[in-house]
Amino acid sequence: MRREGPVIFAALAGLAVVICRFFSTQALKAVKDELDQWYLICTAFMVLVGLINLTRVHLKKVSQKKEGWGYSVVLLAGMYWFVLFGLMRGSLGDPQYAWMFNTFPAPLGATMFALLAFYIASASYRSFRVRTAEATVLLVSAVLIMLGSVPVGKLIWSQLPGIRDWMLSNPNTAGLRGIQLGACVGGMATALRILVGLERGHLGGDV
Amino acid sequence: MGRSVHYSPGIGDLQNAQTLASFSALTYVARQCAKFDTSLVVTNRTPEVYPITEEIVRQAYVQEGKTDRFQLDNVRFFSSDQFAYASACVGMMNRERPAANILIGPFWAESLIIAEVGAQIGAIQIAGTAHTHQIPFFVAACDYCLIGEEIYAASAYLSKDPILLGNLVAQDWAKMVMATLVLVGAIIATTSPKANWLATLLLK
Repeated sequence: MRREGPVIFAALAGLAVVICRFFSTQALKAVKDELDQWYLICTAFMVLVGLINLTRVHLKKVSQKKEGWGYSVVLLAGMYWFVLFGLMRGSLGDPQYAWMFNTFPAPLGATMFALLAFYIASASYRSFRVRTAEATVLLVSAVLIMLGSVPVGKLIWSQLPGIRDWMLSNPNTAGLRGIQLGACVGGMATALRILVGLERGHLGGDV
Repeated sequence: MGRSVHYSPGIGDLQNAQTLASFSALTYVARQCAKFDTSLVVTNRTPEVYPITEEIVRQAYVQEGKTDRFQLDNVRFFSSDQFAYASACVGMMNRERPAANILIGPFWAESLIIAEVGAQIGAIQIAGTAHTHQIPFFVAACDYCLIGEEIYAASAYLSKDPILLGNLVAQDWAKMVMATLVLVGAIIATTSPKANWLATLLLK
């Protein structure tokens, strides 16, 4: 029953949500709203579990003076400072909290995102090395797309932007849609397997 | 020798089918790691995913009869912020230098950041996502890549369960039916009297 219970519960909850999607009655809507509320409550509670995990991992690192323990001190101080400040002042709408958020986490996130440009450059360099026929096709198409996207491309050959547009809207879109079609069917099959209890990875192992 | 395996189930929540598909792959990876006494580090971005991955890894060690080898601190919650999670992954990978980096699940812009750092530290990389815009990044940076629907087929492939394999065959038939419908639709749209592309082309 330890296994069957969660499988039956997941199947019933999943079926209820699927039925609610197709048949919109007041009673079914109430069931779906209730399930959504429970999901939100569980999610909020899990943030606390995550907080405990972070604290445990980093406190251990600090207490054992492991390599880079100073960063753990900064992380714990920053995390609890934000939690306490938010609890005391309220996070939404408080100008000082907003200032802290806009001054620390927001620029750090933007910095990580900006680093992506350099990672794209190094990944492209590796991919574009001509070693196989596929890599050659990749290199040629990438050069055409890049030249077609920049103003100098048009100066080199006026047809380059047209070639770029054709490549993006025909072979590229066809490939993407093929993958999306397969992924949608795969997603539906996975959902079905979970609903009927064939796939139980989410219940803690037992593929 | 002695280096760990890093596994990320992506940054999606439990409402994402890719996350659920990733759990099956994690089950297999965790059992293999438990079997060969290899340290497995699982990093999480979504709070509700974290306790599930922890339980999956714990169960894997229990099933392999090595409950005492399970290390709670190796299943980690980093941050619910996308780039804070990516940053923490980069830091962890640079410090702990895992020998294998497995990224299966829903990934967005952080995909290349994590995969490229994995390539830089020389880890063998297996990645998979159904997000079409991230697949090229994984193809470019990783050694092996599961493209689109392949992540959903992984659990059946790994378990070798006849029922799940039958499900895969049904999935392939469904795709063939859909492809046929697309083809028939394209032919009808092209040859329909209302389709005037041929006339437009001839008049040019």
